[in-house]
Amino acid sequence: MTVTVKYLSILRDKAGLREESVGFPAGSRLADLARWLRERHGFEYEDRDIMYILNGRGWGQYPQGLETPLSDGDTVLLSVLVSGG
Amino acid sequence: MFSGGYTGRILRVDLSRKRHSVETVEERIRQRLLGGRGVAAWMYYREIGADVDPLGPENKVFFMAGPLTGVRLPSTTKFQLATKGPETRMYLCSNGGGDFGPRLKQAGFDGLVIEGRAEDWTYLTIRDGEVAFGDARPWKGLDSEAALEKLYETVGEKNSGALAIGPAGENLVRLSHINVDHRAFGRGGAGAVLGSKRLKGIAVAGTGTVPVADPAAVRKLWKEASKELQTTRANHKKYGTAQYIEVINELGCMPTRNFQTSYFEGGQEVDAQAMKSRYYLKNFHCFNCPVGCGMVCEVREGPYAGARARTEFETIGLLGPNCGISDFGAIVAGNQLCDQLGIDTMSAGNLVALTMELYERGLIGREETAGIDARFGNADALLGIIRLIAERKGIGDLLAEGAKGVLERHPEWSPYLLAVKGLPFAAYDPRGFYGNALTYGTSSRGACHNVGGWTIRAELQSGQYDRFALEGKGRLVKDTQDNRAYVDSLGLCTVVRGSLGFSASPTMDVLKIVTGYDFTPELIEIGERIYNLERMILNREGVHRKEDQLPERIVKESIPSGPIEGRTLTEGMYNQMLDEYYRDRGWDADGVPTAETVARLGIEELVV
Repeated sequence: MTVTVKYLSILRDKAGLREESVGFPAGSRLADLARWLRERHGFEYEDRDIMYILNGRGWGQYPQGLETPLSDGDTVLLSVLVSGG
Repeated sequence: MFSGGYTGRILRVDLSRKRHSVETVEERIRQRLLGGRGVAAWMYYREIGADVDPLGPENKVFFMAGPLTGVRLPSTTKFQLATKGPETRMYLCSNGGGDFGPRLKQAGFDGLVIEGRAEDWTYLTIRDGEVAFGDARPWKGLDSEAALEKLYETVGEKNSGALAIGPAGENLVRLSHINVDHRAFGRGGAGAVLGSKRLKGIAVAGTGTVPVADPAAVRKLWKEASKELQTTRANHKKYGTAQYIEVINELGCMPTRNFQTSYFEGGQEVDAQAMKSRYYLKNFHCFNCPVGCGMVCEVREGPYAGARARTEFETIGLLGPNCGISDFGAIVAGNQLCDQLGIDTMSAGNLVALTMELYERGLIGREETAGIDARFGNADALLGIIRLIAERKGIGDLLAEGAKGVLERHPEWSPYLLAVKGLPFAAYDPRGFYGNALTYGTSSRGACHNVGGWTIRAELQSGQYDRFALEGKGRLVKDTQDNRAYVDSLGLCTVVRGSLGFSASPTMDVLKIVTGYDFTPELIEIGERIYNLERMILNREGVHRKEDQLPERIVKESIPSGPIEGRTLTEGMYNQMLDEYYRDRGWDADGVPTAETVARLGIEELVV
C-alpha cells in the first residue's frame, strides 16, 4: 500500500521536500511509519514540537495510537505545533 | 497589597472641555480583575449605557495596561481597550502591542480614558504626567503611518509611543483600526470612535520605570525566559505566524473565495516559504520582545513593487485565499494600504470577498464597484475595493457601515456574509474545527478567534476533543476563553506566555515577584469573572442566544472540495454545543449568567 506523507512549514525545510509517497507492506501500523520517519529524516515521534496527523486527526486521537493500522491512500501530515489566539 | 506592577493611577481626558484629571482604581478591583481587559470591562460596565451611540460624544475609550505592561520581562507590550464598537454596535474589547502601553506606564498611568468630542481635530501629548492638547487640523487626511511620525516628533523619539488613525477613521468607517506603533487595535472599528471624537492621535513619553516587588527575581527571570524563547519560539522568529498558512490549508480550513470552500489551490504561492524567499525584509520586534515574530515584507518587482507591510497569518488568509488571490505581492500591497488608510485587514478581507461574490453572482455590477472588475483573484480589485471602503465611494460607502450595516440594507445578502454579531470571521473555516464554530459564536466581541478561545491545537491533539465531535466542546471553549481573558489582562503577548508559565494551569510566581501579590491560584477564576462581566454587558446591550448563532453559509452549506469535502455543521449540531457551553458556563438557556453564577464569581459587589 502507498501512503502520502506531507512535510509542512518548518518540517519541509528539515525534510528537504514537500511530500513523498511511501510504500508499506499490508498490515503496517503508524509505529512502522514513525520508525521510517525517524530513520529517513530524523523525526522523533516523541518530539513535542511536531504534530503527527493521519487523515486530518492527530495520531494520539486514534484509540489505538501507534498501533493504528495504515490503509492504502492514507495521507499523513507532519506539521509544526500550531498555536494561536 | 501591591508593591509593584501597577501605578494605581488612571488619566481621564475630556476632549469637550479640554480638561484632564487623575483617578485611582481601588486595589480590590485590581485584585479581582487583574488589569487590562478586566479593568477596562469594569469601567465600561459602569460608564457606558446600552443606548450609547458608538460614534456619539457620550461613548468613551478605556485604554488599560496590565500589571506586567512595561515591566522588564519579555514582550510586556500589551494593553487593552474597551469601547462601544462601531462595527458591532456593542461592547468591544481589543488588544494592542507596540510601545504605547509600556510608555504610558512609564509616564505614570495604568490607564487612559478618552471622553467627549473635540471642537476640531486634535492630538494629545502625555509627557510624564503632563497633558497637552495639540492642533491636528493640518494633519487631517494623513495616513496613519505618517500621523505616527508627526506624533513621535511632538514628544521626541526616545521612550515614546504613539497611536493614530488614518483617513478611514476620520471618515467614520466602522472597520477602522487604531495604528499603535505600527501594530494595531485592529478589530471592531475603534478607529472610528477616535474619528468621531476628532482625535487624530496620542503621543506618550515616559521616563519613569514600572516598579516591581522583587527586582532581583525579575532580572533573573528576564534572562532565563529570553534565552528559552530563542529555542521555543524559533519558528516564530523564522516565519512568524505565516508558518501556519500551509498547515491550516492542508487541514482543509483555509477560507477560500468568501468561505465558499476551505482549501486554496494556490496555497503554495502564499505560504511561509514563499513569503520568506521572495518578500521577507526584516523582523519586527514589539517592546521588550526577544522573538520578533513580525515579518516585514517588501515587494521587489512587479506591479506592487515598493509595497511594504508586516504581513501575518490572518491578513494573508483573508486578503489572499479568501479573495482568491495567490499573488503574495498583492497581499503585501493590500496590507500596506489597509494600514495606511487605517482599516482592519480582517474585516476588509471579508468585505472585499463579499463584494467579489456578489459581483460574480451578478447581484452587483460595475456601477456599484466604480468600474472595478471585482472578480475573485483580481488583485487590482482587492486594492480598489479597500480604497472605496476608506473613501466611502460606490459600494464602499455601504461596506464602510460594516457587516451589520450591509445586512440592514440588504438582508437578502445574508447567505454571503460571514459574521457573528456584526464582526466578520477570522481566517479559519469553522466547519473544519467544530470548537472553532463555538468560539466564533460565543466570543465577547463577535467572530473572533482570540477572545473567543482558540481551540485548534486541542482539537488536533487531545484524545478528548476530536475536531468533528460535538461533545466536550462547550467545556473546551469555556476554559480557553477564560484562559485568554486573564492573559489579556496581564499586559503580555500571548506568543511568549508559555515561557512565563501563563497556561491553562498557571505555574510560576511571575505576578508575585512583580506585584507582591500571589495571583497564580486565582487566575483562571479571574478569567471566568471577566468573561461573565463581559457577558452581562452584552446581555444589557441585547445579546442573547439568537445573537450567538452562526451565519447561513456555515450551517446550511457543506464544504464542496478539499481535504474535508462534504463536511457539514448544521444548526442543530451547533446548538447542541451551545447548550453544553451555556450549561458549563452557568448561563441559562438564553445565554444569561444565572444569579448563582454571578454570586459565585463575586461580580455584583464589583459593579454596584
